[in-house]
Amino acid sequence: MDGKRKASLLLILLMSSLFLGKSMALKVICGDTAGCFLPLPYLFDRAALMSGHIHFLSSELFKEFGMKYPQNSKSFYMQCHTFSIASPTVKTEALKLSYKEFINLLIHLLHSWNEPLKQLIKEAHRLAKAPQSIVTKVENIRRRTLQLLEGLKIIGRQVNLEITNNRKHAVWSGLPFLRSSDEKLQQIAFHNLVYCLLKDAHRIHTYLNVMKCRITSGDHC
Amino acid sequence: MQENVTRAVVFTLLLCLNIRLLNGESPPGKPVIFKCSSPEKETFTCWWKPGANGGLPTNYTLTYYKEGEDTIYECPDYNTSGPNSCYFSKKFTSLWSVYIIRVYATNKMGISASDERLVDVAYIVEPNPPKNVTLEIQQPEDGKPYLWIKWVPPTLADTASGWLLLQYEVRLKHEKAVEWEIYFAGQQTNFKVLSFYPGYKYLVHVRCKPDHGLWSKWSEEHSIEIPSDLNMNDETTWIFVAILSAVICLVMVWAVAFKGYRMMTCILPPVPGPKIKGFDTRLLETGKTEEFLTAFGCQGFPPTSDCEDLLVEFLEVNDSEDQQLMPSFSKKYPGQGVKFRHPDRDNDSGHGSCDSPSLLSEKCGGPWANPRTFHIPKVIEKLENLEANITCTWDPLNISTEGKIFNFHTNGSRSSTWPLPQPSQHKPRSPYHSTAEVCKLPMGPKAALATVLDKSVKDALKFSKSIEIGGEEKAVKKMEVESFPAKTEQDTAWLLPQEKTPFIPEKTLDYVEIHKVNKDGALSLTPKQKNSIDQTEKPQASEISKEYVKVVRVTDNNILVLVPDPRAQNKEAPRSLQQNQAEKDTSCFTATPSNCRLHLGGSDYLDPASLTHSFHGQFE
Repeated sequence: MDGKRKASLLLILLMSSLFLGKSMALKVICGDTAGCFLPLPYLFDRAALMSGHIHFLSSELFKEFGMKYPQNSKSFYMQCHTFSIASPTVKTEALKLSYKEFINLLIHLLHSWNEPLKQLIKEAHRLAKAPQSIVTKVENIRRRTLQLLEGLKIIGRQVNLEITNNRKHAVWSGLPFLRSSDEKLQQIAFHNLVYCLLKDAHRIHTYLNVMKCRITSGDHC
Repeated sequence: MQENVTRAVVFTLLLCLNIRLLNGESPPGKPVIFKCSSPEKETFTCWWKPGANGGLPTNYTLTYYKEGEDTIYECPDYNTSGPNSCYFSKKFTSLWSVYIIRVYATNKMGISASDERLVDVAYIVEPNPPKNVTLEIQQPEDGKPYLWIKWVPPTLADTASGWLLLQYEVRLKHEKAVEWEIYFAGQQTNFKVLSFYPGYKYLVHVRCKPDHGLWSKWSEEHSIEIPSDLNMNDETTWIFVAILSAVICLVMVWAVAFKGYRMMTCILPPVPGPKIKGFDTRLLETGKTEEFLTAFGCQGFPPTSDCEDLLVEFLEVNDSEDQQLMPSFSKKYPGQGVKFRHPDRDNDSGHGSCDSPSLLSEKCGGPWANPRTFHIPKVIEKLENLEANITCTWDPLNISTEGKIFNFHTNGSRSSTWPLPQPSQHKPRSPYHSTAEVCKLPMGPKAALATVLDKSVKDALKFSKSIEIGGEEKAVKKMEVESFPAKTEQDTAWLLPQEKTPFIPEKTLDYVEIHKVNKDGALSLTPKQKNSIDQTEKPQASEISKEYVKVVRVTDNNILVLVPDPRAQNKEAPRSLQQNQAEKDTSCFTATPSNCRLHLGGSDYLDPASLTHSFHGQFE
């Protein structure tokens, strides 16, 4: 288990270092029995940067989709499936949350997006005149989301988080709309899903920034 | 019936409305929500623009509802953000949920509703500009001075907790500049400007933007005066410049040192000196006149100098004994291509210079002293005359008595002028050929040379032949010499190979080259080399190298005036002229009917008949 942990940790670091511009002094903390750990500020910093990148990709995807398939502004503001996951929407609430609660929340959020992203990639090919760039972006987002999930799990283990399963993942029921034969409906469903993705990416990014700034006092915030 | 009533009511209503309209009252115009923004991602405000009020006081109401909810709320605060605005405080702001907002305008006449506006607070963040912008000039000791710009995030933005992370941008320019320089400062709250001009006043602005939001407005203008005496130069810059210059200098010095000559010739090509065709000027540098004059033997040489510049030498061809000359002759030209085994044999060489009674050279050997001295006074006198009038008159009719000195026909008296070819001391024949005189005549050199083919040449050929025969050459010479004066009709042209004249003397003519004139002005004759240009004669290389001499002129007494080539002996000639005037023999040919100047070059070939072998005695 330790070996696996180290391997995944290194994998995450390798992945994150590909696009992360910042360089933080990396100090591996090795305890006697628990194995080696990376410092939390470093991990949170990396997680925040990664989530910022996911948000950037989602924003690009939303823009491109909106240009390719213009929609009536009203039509796509349907309820996102992750709305059921209780998350702070105000700063004051967000600042009250603990690390563990935050990490839990984030893991749940990211888990909730596993399935929709998978389906999004599948159905994107069926979209009428779907440009390859949209599909590529969705694939990118999914890959990085998984990486972020892994990183958060590592962080959770380091803070001795017990990932509670009492919170169920948000179930996404938008698949029928995505598979709709009605082109217009399909496009609306796509658009809505992409918008929800953008919102949640922004949310995750904000939460990680807060956590990062809370843990690293001073310079970076 | 009911229908009639209905129609009447409608009509009345419309009438009433129209009446009201005619009074100028109308429902309000449609308001427009033109902007909603949040300064810190915690609150937000929406502003609308009212439509026409229809002439009546109009009330505006803003209502909203959130996505997924059915409850419609009214604007909580109409005043904080000014007129026609709605301010949503923290309490009423929740992120990541869409607000659907609408404004209603109400007046007595009616209500107008604006379009729905969808607002997601996370994406309408537009912060305030940064505050407390300060400018400083910093001058660190170990670096260049820089302009340090510092600022503080806007008041409301909570960057400390990380809720709102801002990125900053700075722009500056000096007063008289047109365009701004914009620099992205990232998330830091200070910026260093390294490039600026001292003595100017600089203006600075700062603005900020959240990760995914809108840029703020530019901050207030701040200015700073850069002092003029600011030392912008960095030491390291000067060191770098110095090293680079040193390297360049070294490279240049090396290039000049090693390739200096080539470079100099490239940049300043040497001025081409006067070129004598076929003449190697390097021989001049060696200072060896022998080599120099030998060179003349190889190629023709146009006589370019005036007769006045030439020394007048008294050259007599004499068939004197050459035996005494032999060793000296051979000694003198060891390096020459010609072998002087039997220099005495060469009747046409300058051997006769010493033998000739007219020889003036003092350096001749003993046996010739007497004849030389005998002629000295005469020659001196005649030289003076000749110098005065060097131009030869070729008028055959005017055979002046000037050249009486040169008495070839009286050569008989000078039995020693020509070196007699001794059988025992056979000398290789020296080639002779007549030198064509380059006459500056209107008819041109060619024409003049056309007359070269004269009997004198023929005679010279015969003469040479007779010389070669040996034995009775002496007598033959005398004979030939005597016959010369009679052939005055034809020009005796000195062949000048360079002239490329069509001169084609008789093939049997041998040529002798004036090999050189020694220090004392002695004439050294050499057999002409075969490779001379334009020589259609049969040059037969003789083993004797003789010195070249220039033919100055031909007197009317058929006397050839020869002088050492001034080019060869520029320095020597005047000296020798002064010192050895008496030593020099000159011979002159006459024959040409026209006045012309005799141009002599170093490579003149002398007619054997005119050559005075008396020069032989001059050889050392």
